[in-house]
Amino acid sequence: MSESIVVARDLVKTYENGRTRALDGVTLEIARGEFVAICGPSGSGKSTLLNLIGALDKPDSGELWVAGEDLAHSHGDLAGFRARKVGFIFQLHNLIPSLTAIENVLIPTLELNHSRREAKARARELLERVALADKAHRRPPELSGGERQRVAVARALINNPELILADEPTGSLDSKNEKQVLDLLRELQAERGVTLILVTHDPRVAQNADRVIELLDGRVIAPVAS
Amino acid sequence: MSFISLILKNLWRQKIRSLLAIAGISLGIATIIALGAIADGMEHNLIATLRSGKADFSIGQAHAPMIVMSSIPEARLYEIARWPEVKQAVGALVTFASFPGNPYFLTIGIEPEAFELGSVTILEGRAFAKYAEDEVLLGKIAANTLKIKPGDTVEIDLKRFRVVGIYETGNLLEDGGALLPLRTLQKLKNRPGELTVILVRVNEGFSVEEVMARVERDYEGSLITLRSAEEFNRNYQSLSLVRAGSWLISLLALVIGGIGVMNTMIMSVFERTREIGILRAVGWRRGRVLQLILGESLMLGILAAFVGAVLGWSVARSVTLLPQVRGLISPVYAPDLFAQALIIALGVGLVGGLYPAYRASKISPQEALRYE
Ligand SMILES: Nc1ncnc2c1ncn2[C@@H]1O[C@H](COP(=O)(O)OP(=O)(O)O)[C@@H](O)[C@H]1O
Ligand SMILES: [Mg+2]
Repeated sequence: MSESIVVARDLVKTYENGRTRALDGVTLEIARGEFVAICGPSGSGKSTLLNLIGALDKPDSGELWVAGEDLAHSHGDLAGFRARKVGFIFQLHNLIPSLTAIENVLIPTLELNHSRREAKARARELLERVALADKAHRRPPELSGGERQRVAVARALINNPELILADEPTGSLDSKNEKQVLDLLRELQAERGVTLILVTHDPRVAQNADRVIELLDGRVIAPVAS
Repeated sequence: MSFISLILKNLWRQKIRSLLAIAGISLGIATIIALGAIADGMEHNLIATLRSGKADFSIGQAHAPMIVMSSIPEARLYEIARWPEVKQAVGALVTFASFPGNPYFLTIGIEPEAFELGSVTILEGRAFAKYAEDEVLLGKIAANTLKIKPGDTVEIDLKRFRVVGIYETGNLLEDGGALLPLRTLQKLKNRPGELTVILVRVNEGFSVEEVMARVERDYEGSLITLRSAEEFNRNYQSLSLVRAGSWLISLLALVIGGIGVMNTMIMSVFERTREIGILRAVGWRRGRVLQLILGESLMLGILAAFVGAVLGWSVARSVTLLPQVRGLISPVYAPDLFAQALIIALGVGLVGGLYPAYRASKISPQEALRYE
């Protein structure tokens, strides 16, 4: 078995002083370079789990190791971890509307002391990779929904992360654009060897992954062995 | 893309809101600049007036709130004039009098013997007689603006005077006013035996510093000696009413402008909650979010400082073109004044931006991203 990039044991996360139990003891492991889908109905805790893995939030209890970092017992702001190790893609309004596509792609580089020229070259290359080289200087309102999601994909890759975390990335797209974005994600995952965790409520979308983890009421119900 | 350009783009996005905030602050800044430049200009001219010509130093009243409010008993002049180290000492009474069309007309009471020490040059006509009750010399600028020639009569404080000549000193304020015989002005103003300033020339072989030191020693607490414009400034500036007003306005601008900017920035942060959540998710530290919002409000302050400086400069300029103050005021734009304005503007940005920036930095990305 290959090295695990995510190891979670008995993760519990509650909200509203314990009244909402978003995650109720989740245990899972994800291998480096794997493409995993987390699937489940709305409210089952998918986003909560993804946010914990991406260090946007902390579990109440349990163990969580991601890319060598102990996220369950860490203190302080994990922004540095997110900037270096993780690339996020959300369902909607991923981009800063006042900035052009290439500027949006460059946003995460401000946090790392990369040379600006190198970062820009890399952003251009990524925009080319997602077939948006000609629209690098358009602002989000001038782009279609599918194009905006491709910009978000390029932004997620700009800092060379180990993990891509996509929360319903095609949730607001028509089927043609949905296929294009999913194909792009799968291609990039394979070509860069990056781990891709995709959250979706749609089993059809989940079918694209190497493996599907099903969530219901904050628990993993159908762990499919890899 | 740099951080600064990000700040500018965010302000540009809400053009109207940003412009309103800038307009608010810049009005305060403009007031500070205009008032300050006019106050500096008046002071500068008064200083030159009182320290003019070939005198080695001047003497004024200690603790006078303003230079023109200085009051020295004439007896001091005669005491000092008798000192062996003093070559010449002359006194002058400097006041404002009402003149047709100008309630603040500068009038200087002086004896003809003092003309040389005060660098007064007669351009037309002649000097007045020492005790003439109805003779006056008009400054070149005043004569030009009022179109008055020697031989004409003018009314000063409701009393008729004959213009016997036109003079020039090269000082804008003086050349916009009038010279009267000392006794006549003292009587007109009901201030017999009173002087505003004493000009002193020191005999050869004596040091100016030592004579100044003697005045300060012999008349400690009642008289001060002044040698340079800077000394006048140090002694009178902080008490000047116009300056106090300018600082009060600065403070008001700081408070009102600060509240305005805070309101603007709180709204702007609130509207961008999700966006800030995204920035945090892609790896921005809290500190960087704080810098972004604070940077935006400081940038509002800096932009307002420039707009306000230009506005204040134009206001001060147009004031000098008003017929009532023609020749009386020439604004002085000291670098200090612009520095003061910039500091105030940055203060407004800081005061208005700190709390919104703190709030923005505390936004939880998880919460912010929950709502699409
Ligand atoms: N910040 C929060 N405050 C309160 N309840 C929350 C918060 N975040 C998530 N929840 C709740 O936790 C549960 C799981 O939510 P979520 O992880 O978003 O589910 P999913 O992404 O699968 O739709 C839901 O009941 C949701 O209302
Ligand atoms: Mg969700």
